Amino acid sequence: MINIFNFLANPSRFRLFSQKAYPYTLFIMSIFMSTGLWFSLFNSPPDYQQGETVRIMYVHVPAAWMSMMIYFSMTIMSIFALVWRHPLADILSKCSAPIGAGFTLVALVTGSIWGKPTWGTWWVWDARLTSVFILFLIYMGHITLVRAFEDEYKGARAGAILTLIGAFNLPIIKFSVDWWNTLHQPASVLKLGGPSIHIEMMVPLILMALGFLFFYFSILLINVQTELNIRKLKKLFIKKFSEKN
Amino acid sequence: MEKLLIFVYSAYFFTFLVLLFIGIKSFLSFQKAHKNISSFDVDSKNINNKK
Repeated sequence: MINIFNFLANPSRFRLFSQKAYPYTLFIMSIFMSTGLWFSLFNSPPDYQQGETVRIMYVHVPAAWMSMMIYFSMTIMSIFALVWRHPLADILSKCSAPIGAGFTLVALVTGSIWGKPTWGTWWVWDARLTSVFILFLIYMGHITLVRAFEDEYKGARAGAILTLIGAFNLPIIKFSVDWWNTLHQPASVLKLGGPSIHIEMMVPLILMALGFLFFYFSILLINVQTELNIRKLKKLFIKKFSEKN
Repeated sequence: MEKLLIFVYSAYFFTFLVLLFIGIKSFLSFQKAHKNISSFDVDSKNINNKK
């Protein structure tokens, strides 16, 4: 595992790897997403209390999982970038942030749409909703901060520090429904004692989650190639300019 | 119950709109960067050939 990580640490090798890998991740994503959509919209039962609105869960919950998972991976990458100065860690973190922000926005908006028919309100400032909203703000802050510096290294360093500070929000999001009385329901899949959700609802949930995961991988691989090309172009320009002078 | 379906469709529409936006934006940025680097390589080769 460490050998693979070391092998991919080289930007040129990673570019080659992502060029080859992203068509496969896109293909796997389309398989999971299409079967997940079919199950979630046409082949899963309505809830005995919520009726058809329970189908919102199949996009809301995987998006919320992804928003946290991407932030967690960004935290790991930030540690690698700050401690070991891993050449790809800051690029991966920078390229992950817009995707994570997108998933957080999806989780917030679909949650709000789900909240209206079930709670009778679009939004409440309870612990879960507020902590996820803070996560969205941290993502936006990261995107802005990393691009605010002319020196990429300084931007990456500032972004990594912000990510590490913001990581304290992750356990708050996860356990907010246990620590405080909230309108949001407690965990029913990722919890001690196993999931309490019926298998017929679990299948579309897992399929959509896998579809979103492979969407993240595909876009990340494309974004990393873009970032590597931009950095290579900058280096070529500097080289050309210094040769002229 | 029929009335509630509008919430379901809105949630799915918004989700895929965001995913599509992210996908298209990433793809366009990739195309632009790829085009820039290709044209830079061609320019450099032309300059080298002239030399």
